[in-house]
This record gives sequence, structure tokens and C-alpha cells, in this order.
Amino acid sequence: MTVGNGRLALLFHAAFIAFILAPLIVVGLVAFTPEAYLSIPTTRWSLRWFVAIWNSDFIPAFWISLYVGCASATIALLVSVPAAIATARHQFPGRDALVAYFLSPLMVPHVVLGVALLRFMAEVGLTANIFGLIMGHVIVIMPFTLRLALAALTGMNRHCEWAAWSLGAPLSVVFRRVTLPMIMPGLAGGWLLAFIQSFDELTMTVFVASPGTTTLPVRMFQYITDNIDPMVASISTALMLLAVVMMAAMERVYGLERLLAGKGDN
Amino acid sequence: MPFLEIQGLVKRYGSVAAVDGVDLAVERGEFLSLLGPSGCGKSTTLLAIAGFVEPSAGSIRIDGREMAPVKPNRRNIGIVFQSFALFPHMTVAENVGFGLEMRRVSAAERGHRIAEALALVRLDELAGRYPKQLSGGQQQRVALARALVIRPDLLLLDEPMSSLDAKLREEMRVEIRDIQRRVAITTILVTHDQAEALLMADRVAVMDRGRIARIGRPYEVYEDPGSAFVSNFLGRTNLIAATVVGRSGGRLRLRVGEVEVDATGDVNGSTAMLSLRPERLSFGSDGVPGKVESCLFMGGQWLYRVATPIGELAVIRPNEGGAHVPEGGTVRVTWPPEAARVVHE
Repeated sequence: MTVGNGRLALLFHAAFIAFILAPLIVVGLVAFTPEAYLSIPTTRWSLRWFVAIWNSDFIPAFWISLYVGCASATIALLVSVPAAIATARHQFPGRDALVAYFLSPLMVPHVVLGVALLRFMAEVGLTANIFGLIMGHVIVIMPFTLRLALAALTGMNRHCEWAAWSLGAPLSVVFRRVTLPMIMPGLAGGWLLAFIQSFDELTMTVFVASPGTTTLPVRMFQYITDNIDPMVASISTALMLLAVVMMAAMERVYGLERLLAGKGDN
Repeated sequence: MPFLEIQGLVKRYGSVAAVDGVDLAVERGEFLSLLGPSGCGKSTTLLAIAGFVEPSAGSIRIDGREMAPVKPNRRNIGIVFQSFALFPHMTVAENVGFGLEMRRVSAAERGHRIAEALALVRLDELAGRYPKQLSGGQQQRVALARALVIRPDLLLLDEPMSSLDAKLREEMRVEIRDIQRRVAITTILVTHDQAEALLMADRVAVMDRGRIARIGRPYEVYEDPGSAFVSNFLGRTNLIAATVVGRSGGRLRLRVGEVEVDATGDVNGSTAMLSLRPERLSFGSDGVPGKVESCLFMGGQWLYRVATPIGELAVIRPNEGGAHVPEGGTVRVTWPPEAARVVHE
């Protein structure tokens, strides 16, 4: 049974996709310009702006972003799993309030978080410290790891744990040998989403970042306030390529839909 | 002393009692079925035996040993769930071997016993497959092999056939019954399917609202259900409200409208419920007069609905290839004296 799209609907979908892709395409084209200003290359193509990345301070900023992303996603995941087990498997007073509290960073504007964290870190002496930045990111991205861990846990067949328990496995072994492998796709998906959130985070990080802890988005933001050249376009294009390669790899290994829908394997 | 002994088992969830005073004694090697509609407490009883549910009151003893302080992983019980609950990330052999691994059985011995268990359920060739590569029936066999390979003291089956299709379910009933006999393991089957319980079990315990309403051998329970609930749940029956007009030697004289009938059983008081199994009724030259309202063909049988002075009666007659009574035909419904039973409301 197929219901064809009407002409208007097709037009709408085409326009929708065009609006999403157009800016990316323009950025992608500008990245290959040989000129020193923002322009879409017409006669000649050049990689000079890609070469320029290598000698810029964007590379250290990239490594900081990568480090902060990996560290904060991992910490968020490690905190989320016990929290998810407690809230998904046990009934206790204040359970719903606790889940709402863990998920609340989704509701709080990042600007507000940024200002608050800046004050707080000045207070406890964590400014200009990468540990403080990572902690700030953990707060912002934890809703993602928690949501996917919760979905994986509630989606898995509880009888599998019971079966293992009754087959002679103590609860710690049940968790390691049965629960963890079964919720692993959900946890991996949560980690990935959290990493992307962290890597992308600008609004809050701008407040907290200092010269030693400048992440890539912050560096790019600073750069375009002072310069107008195709450097930012070439970095964006490089990041897009990186994302595409990673997505393709993940799709091959795991299946992205399964990963990001947080479905357990059962 | 019975092998499994349950005394005064109660499980309350808040103010609701899911199990409300169950006493049960199961002999070694016996196959007992807990039968009842959903919410009758049969599954909760099973989960309490396995140790997943902590009883609010009462005791469970296996081979004389009190189970309350024993964790599920120390009870040596094999369990098969309706969902089969196979570990999706392990192969068939790894699934079956899991319990042996937990018991620190050596790898060589393990391989030997896994092969033996898989042969028992006729799955020897699929040891390397993953559960999702198997059909429902095959998954069920793996679950059974996994539960049996640890040589448990007790085998618990929680609605094990409910997710199989009808044909396969019938095959598996017989097969599980055969395997249970062969390894002579004490087994408890929880089911809502009366045909399954009657066919497989040595004894059937019919549960209603957290209690055992009737327990006995399948034939006995079917023939002498005791209560209207059990007679209606086990097979089908015609239930007729009647007035007691006389008693003599274990039999009651009942009156329904203008008609008087004799029935086996006893009640206190002046009213009684009469149970007549449809397959025990037949058409004859005397008996209660009636008119055939409908006549349905069921392959092996004919199902009649007959309007009579004592109410509408369902009558099941075997299809013997001859002519059937047409709709609108007049008949006389008769039954052997012992087929009329008095049951509690």
C-alpha cells in the first residue's frame, strides 16, 4: 500500500530539504575558494584554506574539544547507568522527581548555565581548568546518556536477568554477563549523542572557556568575530567530512537506527 | 514427606493479595499444573518458588529445606519463561552452558553435557546459532535444554507455550511431557490453557483469586469440579440453578421449574447449582423435551443449542457420519445419572 505524495506535498518536502542542505552546500563550496575572502569558487578550486588549518591554533582547539567530548560523555555514561538502573528497576519515593531533576538541564537555557557555572567555578577556584569545563559539559549532556540508558533498560526482557540469576549467577555476574551486553547498543548510542552534544556546545562553553581550555566551537566563534575569511568554512567542511566518515563507519558496525533509537538487543 | 511443600503462602502488593493462602504438596518426580485465569496468582506462586518474589507470609520447602533465606541462584531450579528469555548475545551452546559455567563445571564436561542436553531436545546441529536465527519452537527447546542441563531439583514452566502457534503448541506439549517423564524431574507448569494442563500434568491445581479452588488428577477434577468456577474453567458446562426437594444416599433430588432431576453431590441449604457437561448429554426417546435452536458443525463434533424447560442446554455429539438433528427439530435430552453434578456457586 503506497500513498503517493500530492504535488504540493512534494514541493514542500523538496523545499524543506533544500533549506537544510543549502547552507551546508554553500559552506562546502566556499571552503574550496582560492581567494582570501568569502566567495563561491567559479573558475578555480583550491585547497589553500584546508592547508591553512594545519598551521593554525584550530588544531589544538580540536584536540581539546575531542578530549572534553570523550571525557564528559564517558563520565556522563558512568553516572547514568546506575541512575538508570535505580529509576527503571526500583520503586521509591521521589523517583519521578529524581528523573525530572536529572533531565532538567534540557530545560535550562545554556546561557543561564554558563553564567552560573562561571560564578561557581570562580568561587571554587576551577576557572581556566579543563576539569571544570568537563564537569560543566557532563551536566549538559547527561540527559542524553540517561534517556538512552533508561530506554535500553526498560526495553530489555527482564526475564533474561531472572533466568541468569536462577541458573546460578550472582547479581553482579548477571549484570556483567547479561544486562550490560543487552543494553550496550543503547549505552553506545547515548555516549555518541552525548559526545556530539559536547563537541557542539558553544553557548555555555563561551562563558567557562579560558585560553587554556578553548574548544573548537569557541575558537571558531572568536575567529569570525575578528576575521572574515574562508578559514571557518574549510574547518566546517572538514568537520562535516569527519562526521560523514564516522556515521558511515558506525552504520557498518552497529546500524545507526538501532544505536540512536536506544533499542536493546532482544 | 512431599518434595516441594508450600504452606500458607501469601503475597501482598499494597492492599491487594495476589496469592492469598496457598498450600501445596508436590511429590518427587510429579508434574503439577497451576491453572487459572490471569490474575489468579498462579504466576506469582511460581515466581515465589523460584525466589524472584519474596512472600509476605508462609513457607516454601524443597526437599525439607526452608527456601526463605536461599537466593534464587542457590536454589538449583530450572525455569522456562513464556518469552524464553534466551541471552541474545550468546550462541545456543553458550546459552545452554551458562548454568554449568556458573557451577564451575570444567570445559570438557561442559561440552559433553551441552551436547547431551541439546540432543534431548533434538537441536544438536544448531549449537553455533544465535537465538534470533531460530524459530519459536527451536528457541523454546533451547530454553528447556538450558533449564534441564543444570540437573535442577525442580523445573518451573511459566506459560511456556503461549507464544507458539497452535500446531506447534500441541507438538511441544507432548514433547515436553515425554522429556519430563524421561528425566523424571519434579515439574510445575503455570498455564491458563485448560487443555494444556489436563493433557500434561499428573495433577491439576485450579486457582481462583489467590487460592487453590480444586486440586486433583485431571480426570477427577474435570468430572467432579466441586465449584461452578472450576467446572466452567475446565472445559465447558451447562450450569442450572435449582431448588433442593429431597436427599437420599449422597444424591439430591432437584427441581428446576416444573422438572425434577437427580444429581450427585451435596450442598447445605435449599438451593443448588446443577452442572451438566455438554458431551455427556445425548438425544433419546425420554428425557427433557427441547427444540434445537442452532446446530454448529465443528469437524469431529456437532454443537447443538437446545431450548428446554430447564433452560438452554449446550449439547455436543460426536460426528459419526450420519444425519444430524436439524435446526428447529424437537428432541429429548437425556444423560446418565452420574453426569448430573451439584457444584458450589
